Amino acid sequence: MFWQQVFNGLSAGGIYALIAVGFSLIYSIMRYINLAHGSLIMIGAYIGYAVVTATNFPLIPALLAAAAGTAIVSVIVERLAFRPIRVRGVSTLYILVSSMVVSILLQNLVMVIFGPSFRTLPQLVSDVPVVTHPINIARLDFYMMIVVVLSLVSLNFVLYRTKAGRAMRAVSFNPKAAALMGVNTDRVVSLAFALAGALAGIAGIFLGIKYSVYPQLGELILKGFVASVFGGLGSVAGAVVGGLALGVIEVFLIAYGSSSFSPVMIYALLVLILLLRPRGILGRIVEDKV
Amino acid sequence: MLKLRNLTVAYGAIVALHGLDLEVPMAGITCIIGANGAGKTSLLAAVSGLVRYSCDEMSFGGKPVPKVAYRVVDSGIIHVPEGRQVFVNMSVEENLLMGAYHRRDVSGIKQEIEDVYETFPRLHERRKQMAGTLSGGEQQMLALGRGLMAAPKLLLLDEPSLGLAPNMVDLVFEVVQKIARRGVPVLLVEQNAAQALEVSDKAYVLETGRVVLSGAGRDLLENPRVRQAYLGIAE
Amino acid sequence: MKRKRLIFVTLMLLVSMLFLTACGQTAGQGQGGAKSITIGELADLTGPTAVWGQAQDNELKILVDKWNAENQVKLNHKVYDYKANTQEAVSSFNKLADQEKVAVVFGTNNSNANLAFGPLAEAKKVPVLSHAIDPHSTTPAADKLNQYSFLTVASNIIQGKTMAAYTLDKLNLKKVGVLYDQGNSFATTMEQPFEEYFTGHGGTITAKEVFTSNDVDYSSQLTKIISTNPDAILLPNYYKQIALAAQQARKLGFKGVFLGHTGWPSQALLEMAGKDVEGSYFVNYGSFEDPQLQNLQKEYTDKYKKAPEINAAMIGESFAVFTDAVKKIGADKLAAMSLEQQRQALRDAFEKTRNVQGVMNNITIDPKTHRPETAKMAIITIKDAKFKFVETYQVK
Repeated sequence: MFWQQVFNGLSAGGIYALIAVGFSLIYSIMRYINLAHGSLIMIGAYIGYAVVTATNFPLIPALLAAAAGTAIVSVIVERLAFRPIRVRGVSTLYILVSSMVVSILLQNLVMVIFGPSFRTLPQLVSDVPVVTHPINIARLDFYMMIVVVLSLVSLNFVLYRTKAGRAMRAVSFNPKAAALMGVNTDRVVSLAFALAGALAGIAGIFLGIKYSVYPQLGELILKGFVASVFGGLGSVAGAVVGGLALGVIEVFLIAYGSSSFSPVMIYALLVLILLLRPRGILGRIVEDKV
Repeated sequence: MLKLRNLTVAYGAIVALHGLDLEVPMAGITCIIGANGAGKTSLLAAVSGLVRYSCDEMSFGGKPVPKVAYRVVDSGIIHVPEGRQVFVNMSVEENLLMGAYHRRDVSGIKQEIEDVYETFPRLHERRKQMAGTLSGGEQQMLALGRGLMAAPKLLLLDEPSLGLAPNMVDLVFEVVQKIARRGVPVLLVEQNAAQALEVSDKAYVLETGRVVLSGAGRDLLENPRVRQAYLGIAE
Repeated sequence: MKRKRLIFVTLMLLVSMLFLTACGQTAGQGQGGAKSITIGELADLTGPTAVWGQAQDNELKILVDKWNAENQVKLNHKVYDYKANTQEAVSSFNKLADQEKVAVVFGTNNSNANLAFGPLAEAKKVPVLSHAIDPHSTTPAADKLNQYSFLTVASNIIQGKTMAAYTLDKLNLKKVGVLYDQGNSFATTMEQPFEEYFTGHGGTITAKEVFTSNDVDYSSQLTKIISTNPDAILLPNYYKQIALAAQQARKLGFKGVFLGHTGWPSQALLEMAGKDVEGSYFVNYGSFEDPQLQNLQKEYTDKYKKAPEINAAMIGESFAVFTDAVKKIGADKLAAMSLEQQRQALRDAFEKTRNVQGVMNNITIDPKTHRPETAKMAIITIKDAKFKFVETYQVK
């Protein structure tokens, strides 16, 4: 049972990590919390659902379609709801509120188009487990973990090995200085939102397959948010570590503790970590910008 | 040359620059001195597109200067901001590469980075180090080097000697002169008026958003008003 | 100036409206002077559970029309849409009680809504006939009884006992693991009587695990349950949670049976997890495959051109209790009473409900709990990804 639970934890943690990374990416660059990220994941799930039911695409093209579609929605959201506030230079609190409104708006939009009911994605992944002994590894979880690793590796590549990634990090440290180097910060922000959107789309499809597609699917972002705070808000590596750690800890609290106390314990642990190490496991200290 | 006519900058009700006229020749060092709040930084920020402004003319080499920061860079005006503003969580080399962000010529960038390392051997030693771990003087070197990476046609330097140890201050002025000798015109904003005027070919004195005096650097050094107000020498 | 006059006119209109309503009808006289009794109904007509609310409302319309065709004293039926929203339920209840001046309120099937307006029914002395599953809607605490609230169908206590007895006696399964939402009384109030009956009659609960409403992954809990080798897993939850739990349990290699109650009958469950829940058993209020409900089904389908939901049969039980009370009091006598007297008389009569033949059950309301203490329930299984009625079953 031990190794099965480890796998359960990593499989849940992988999803948390995917959510947390998209979240942290935006936070690290923009220094604001995009509450609409959960709704983008939900949009990703619906795009996946619409594409698969209409075209019968297999898993990989469906993932690409959801990633691309959600990336576009994410960029549009930034343009319409965040950029006007950002340009005016007023408090990021307004962006927080705006992202909350966008989140509700997207949820209601989907409710109007698709209705409130739960939808099931056609079976994209076979039911036959990869292995059954010594532990049971479902094929979906197995594929999901591969895709999570691939997405996180490619994100890392973009951020640390490309000019655009370097510009993105530069904007995150000091947008004014980056502009003085000739960086079009608006475009970099759009790129960051596109990347976060693509990750949301990928997370959306897997969440949709695992937990079905419904307008409130984005509420799962809460766990992703906890994971990103856990690992250090604004640190992409921290988000991955935080996600996996959260998944495993949660599973072990249930497996070897009690399922009725595990939700309490998880949040108590979070508070404890924040007290002992306010920047999370891998977070960096956020300096105030002059 | 960089030519400004009737440049006005205001932050809400506070006017920082009142219809300023200014010319920066395409060679040598031009400096602007003035007390805190005289509008020096606003002047540079306006030229590099960081703040909104109005003017009758702002041209560089006969062409109007764009109003958005990242486009100004393409016209060759490179602004090294006050307080260094290096990217602390990026390596020295990555900082330099950021300086060359707007350039497309890969081989040129390679050559440039070698040149910068030659000018600042310290940066070469620390090229893999995070910029945040450098000393203040080293960070200023990095900021200057990052500015040079952009292949500037005009370098705007905002208080490069601020907060540095005296020997570092001397080094910075040496480097600024070196840059100018290499053929890159410099517009230098300084509070350290004595040293700035010493190295400048041309100088402007700013007071509460207006040019009150201008002339050759050496001449201004002799000017009694400048001597009293900025050099602290009573006649 | 113009604006001032407008405000004045509006105010005058408001005042006169208040005046008119204030000296409006006495209780027993409806429109046209004919004797009538006003009844209220709360139904979710446009919210997330509209499928059930509409079935309830549609059937009540049939029943009221039938009554009005056969009786001198007419029923004046007022329905409010509470959208399965607790706040909406409270404000709608107030409107029914204060503005519509109803003698009785029918509904709802939503425990949270009923728990919310229960205290209002006490304060305003308006009797309520509801189909909520949570026994707390009539007995909010162990020694407390809501004088004006009544349940007419099987509460979770009966459902839990019925499923436990059926599992032991008919399915012959002795080892059961449980997974449920610890924050939802829909689940907890079923699990408790199930566990009590099951362990009290020779069964074993091998593992009991919980989750919270927003969780979607129960793999860890299920791994733990499955490691105790149960014959069956009880999932007394909502259909989405059931579907996810069943899928995840199958992925972890569980081959046994799933058990449940009235959160199960939903087409969406079959769509989401059809083959995973194959062979499961659950209790429901009734089944349209049960010959007893053929009549209702036919009438309903003839009128609305679609199949009814079980909620149509549930409102039938409440209406049976209501008509029994009206007949005992005497319809004419009741219509002549003041509103307060009507409400009190109905409440007192509801409390004395004995052996009233409803659509599904022979209803006796226990005056100590204001709900039936026993009921015949339908046992449903899932076969070939379809719900299939097995039999009706009553705990001895």
